Amino acid sequence: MPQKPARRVWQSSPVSAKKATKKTAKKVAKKAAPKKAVKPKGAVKKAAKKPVAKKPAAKKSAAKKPAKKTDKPMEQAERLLNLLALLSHDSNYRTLEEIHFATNMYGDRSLFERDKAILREMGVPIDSKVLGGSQAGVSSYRIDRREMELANIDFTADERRALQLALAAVHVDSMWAERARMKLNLPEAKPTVAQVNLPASSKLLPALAEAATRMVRVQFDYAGGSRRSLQPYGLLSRGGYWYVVGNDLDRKAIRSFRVDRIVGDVKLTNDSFVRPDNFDVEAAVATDAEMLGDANGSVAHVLVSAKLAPSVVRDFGENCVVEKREDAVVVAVPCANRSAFRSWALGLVAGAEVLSPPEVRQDIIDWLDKMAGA
Amino acid sequence: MAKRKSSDRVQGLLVMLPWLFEREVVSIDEMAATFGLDRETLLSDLNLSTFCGTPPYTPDELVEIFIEDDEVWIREPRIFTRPLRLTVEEAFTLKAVGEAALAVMGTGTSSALASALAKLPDLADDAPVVVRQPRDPKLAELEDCAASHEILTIDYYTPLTDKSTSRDIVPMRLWVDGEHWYCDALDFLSGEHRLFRLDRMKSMKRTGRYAEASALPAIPDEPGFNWSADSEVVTLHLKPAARWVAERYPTLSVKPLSAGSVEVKLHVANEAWLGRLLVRAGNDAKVVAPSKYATLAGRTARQIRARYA
Repeated sequence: MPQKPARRVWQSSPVSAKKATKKTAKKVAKKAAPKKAVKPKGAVKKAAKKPVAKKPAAKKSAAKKPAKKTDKPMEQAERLLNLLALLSHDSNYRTLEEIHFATNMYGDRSLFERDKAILREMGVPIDSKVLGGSQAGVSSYRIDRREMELANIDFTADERRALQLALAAVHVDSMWAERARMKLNLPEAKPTVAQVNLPASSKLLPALAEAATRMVRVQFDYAGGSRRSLQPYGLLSRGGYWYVVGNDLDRKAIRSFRVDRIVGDVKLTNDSFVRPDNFDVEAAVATDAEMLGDANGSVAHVLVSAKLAPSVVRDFGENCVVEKREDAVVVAVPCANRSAFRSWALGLVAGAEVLSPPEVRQDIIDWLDKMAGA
Repeated sequence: MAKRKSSDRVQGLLVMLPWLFEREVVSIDEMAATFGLDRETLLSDLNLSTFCGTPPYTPDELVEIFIEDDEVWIREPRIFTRPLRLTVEEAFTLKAVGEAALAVMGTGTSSALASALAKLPDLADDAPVVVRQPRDPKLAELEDCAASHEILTIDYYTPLTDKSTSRDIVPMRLWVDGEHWYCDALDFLSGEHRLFRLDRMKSMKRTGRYAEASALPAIPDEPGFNWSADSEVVTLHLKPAARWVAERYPTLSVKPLSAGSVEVKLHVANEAWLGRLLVRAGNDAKVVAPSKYATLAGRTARQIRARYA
């Protein structure tokens, strides 16, 4: 039967609300708080209210009545803060029994395990150590405060401003940027004229970035049902997609993977690797234009209307134009990847016509006939 | 207000308490606004923190917060004096944000940003994260006009009609989604807010005339394609070969069917847009609803086929 945690006894803090200035009140508060050790264990008494939400002097008596029922289980957030405070305020390791003795929060071990897991998920580094001697086999815990807390970062005024502007200019679809902004104590800047929409809320992205930074191998399932083992060299966001690039250990080659096609979680292993110097993450991921095929391979000639020509030139470069006609251009475009080429050409709808080679032209005609008849 | 996760409350407090300590006294409203909480939520969180401390849990060992005359202030705390370190997720996101912002910043700001990112601990520093944005040569000039509300004459190509029209606009915001640059603007032709794609502006001329700030229409808070509630939604069945449609375009829902097929619902910009999508997907995509689009794929295919006569 899990034991309901009882609220600890709180020494009422008789702060005078009749203070003229905050400074005096502060002193009063300090003096009025007697250093009387209260033995918390088992002692279930009224929870005297702490001075928060204190009304002005006139309402003092109202504020004094016990605000909470003592038999109500402690809120989880309160438990988490107290566990955090206890384990981080000195360098001692504590067993669960000691933690419970101090806080009266964990008559129920599973409650402790759950809270511990939540703190770890929040990024709190909880060390554990298995004791020896008379307590052999018992785990004890502590939190290294230096590991837990954000170090003081010495930003210059320009650097702070640049970070604020970056955070105002880029819209990310997760809470993480906002959380980081608050931790770094950066006020929200006015939106900039030029802005970026960056989808980056997949949980896999931070995991892959961590693996790429620590240089450890990862494993994941990829669309189509294959298990991949990858030394991740880096992440690339381009054209609305995120890619992870690295050394695919099964294929023994550099490969890139769309992160949104990874199925389930990414598993970080302990196998480390060394990233090649000056590895170009971007060059390793084929662009849409490159997907059509190798420029030295088969090439199709396509008649493109003048209105659509600029966007084609942007994707394939000035050199793709082989002939200029009135109101149209002929461009030479790789077509080795037939389905990618077809998708590209049809994307220009009636603004383009594939001229040659004959079998590529016929492929388009067949595709359209099949659809037109359907 | 929906019940918040305990971990969110705790993480919030671990940011708020050091912030409060740094300022000592702030107004409740300012604090609530800074952290995006309503007053009641803020007070309940602050109240919660005053039950927290270290043994022997005498008042001296507890967080002490006072609220009076709409001000909140804190006694020098012994715990919770610093926020938690950045999580892997937060550090990654900062790095990605920084990388993405470099595309839209002047060189002075971007060098300060680079050195700021280099000071961030752990991941944010040397993580090999690359964010590429398209470039557009018109960007600087449009930004300039947006800042001063200058009226521009543009020649704008509309694929729907396959025509270019000359129109006067006042650029208000520029944004990029990884693939294209867009411009939220006041469009004098319609008299309303319109979204333009920069690569479809064939030419651009500054007029030297300026619009009053008060004449500018409201634009959505966040950049994006703001589908109105009554905009058209189409239901498609996609075979595995056409699954890319669901990955490429924002969907309202994706429901698995048998044999790897899916049913997706998505917003339709216009008929021409949907026709183009369908002809690329071929017979691997089928319109389920609305029925008026059942013949669109065939019609679009015949229209293109006419060129190959």
